Amino acid sequence: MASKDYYQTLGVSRNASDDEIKRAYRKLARRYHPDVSDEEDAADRFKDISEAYEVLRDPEKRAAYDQYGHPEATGGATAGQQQWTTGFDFGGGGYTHVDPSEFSDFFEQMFGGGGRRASAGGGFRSAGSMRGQDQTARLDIDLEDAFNGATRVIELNVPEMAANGATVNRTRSVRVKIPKGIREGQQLKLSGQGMPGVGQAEAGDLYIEIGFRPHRIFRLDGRDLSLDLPVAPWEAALGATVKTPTPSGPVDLKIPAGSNNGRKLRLKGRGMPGKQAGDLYTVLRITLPPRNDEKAQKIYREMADAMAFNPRSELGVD
Amino acid sequence: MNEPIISCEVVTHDVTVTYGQMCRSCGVNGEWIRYLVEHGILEPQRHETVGTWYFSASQVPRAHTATRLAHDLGLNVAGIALALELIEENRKLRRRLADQD
Repeated sequence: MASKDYYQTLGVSRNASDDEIKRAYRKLARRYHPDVSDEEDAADRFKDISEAYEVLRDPEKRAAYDQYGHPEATGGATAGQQQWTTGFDFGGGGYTHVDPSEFSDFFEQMFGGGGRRASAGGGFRSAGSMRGQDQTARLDIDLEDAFNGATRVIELNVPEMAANGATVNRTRSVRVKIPKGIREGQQLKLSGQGMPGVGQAEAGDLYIEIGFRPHRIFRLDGRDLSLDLPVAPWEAALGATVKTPTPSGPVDLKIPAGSNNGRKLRLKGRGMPGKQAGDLYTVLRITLPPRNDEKAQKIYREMADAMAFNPRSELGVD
Repeated sequence: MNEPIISCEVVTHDVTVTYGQMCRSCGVNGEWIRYLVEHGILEPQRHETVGTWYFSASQVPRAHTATRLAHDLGLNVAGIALALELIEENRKLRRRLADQD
């Protein structure tokens, strides 16, 4: 395992003061907190930041890290390394294992200090039996997954007690069946798939909040879908029957003669499935042919001569 | 991929958790949940006969997020309420932006 440069992780120099380290940590924690950040690797970044801070905030750990753990340390990196990479957990209530009193007196007051740490670590070992905590996760799916139903694998961090009492993170995969017609923001509850219980007690539940990845063609609004459908000027002017994509495959769409740019045509029941299926709206986008050659220009000139049309009359200009 | 497929239920309005279950779910004491309610972060319903609170299970992840924000970033409840609204708003705007691309 390569040794980690915790100073670099927090973006501070090796002789940074405790206050500088605290400030750097807080800034980065706000930026990369998985509940706040939209960055793909936020969870990993946050884990690294918390791990770095957990070590550098503690003068004893920091001194030992400087001597043994730092990449440029002289004291033999591999032996020291082990100590610094175990003992962090990100499950339970928070993503960090840092003493909450360090952050806020308010939190300490609320949780009485013991509650959160106990729930995150192994504080309940002597408490007999206690139901495991619930866990929550977010799963981004594609529109097609919700349209057709799908099976997806979600990876969860599970903190576990190692034989020496330290908490280690294990990754657990859960395969979950995504029901057809699931909506954005809806949640799935997987009974007994949360944190393990203590003693004989049952495990907690796992809640998965569903998000949708943006789709190449369709926009989602509740159960309704919409898409921009390019049409030629003559199709819009004269009317035409054209193919439009729908999530279940292309269908014929009749464009009424004299349709203007932006006209919305509704295909009832062609949106997302459900007790009451959503609708699909096609928004017409009048698109000029890419070629503007001599022949095309001649036709446009003929139109300009034949039609007395000022498209800006409502704006009061010619 | 040999993991068995885990069955699940979609959390609808009639799936509820009690006050106590909500506390245990987040691993916090009742006072914290009450603070979240006072600031409108959680919206409980009241049992007509017993008078105790219960919550739609769809609020469980929100309670977890609120607890993590307090724990990890040291936010107080007013800050959490604001952060949750901004996170929601941010998500909506990003989605709209992505749709326009």
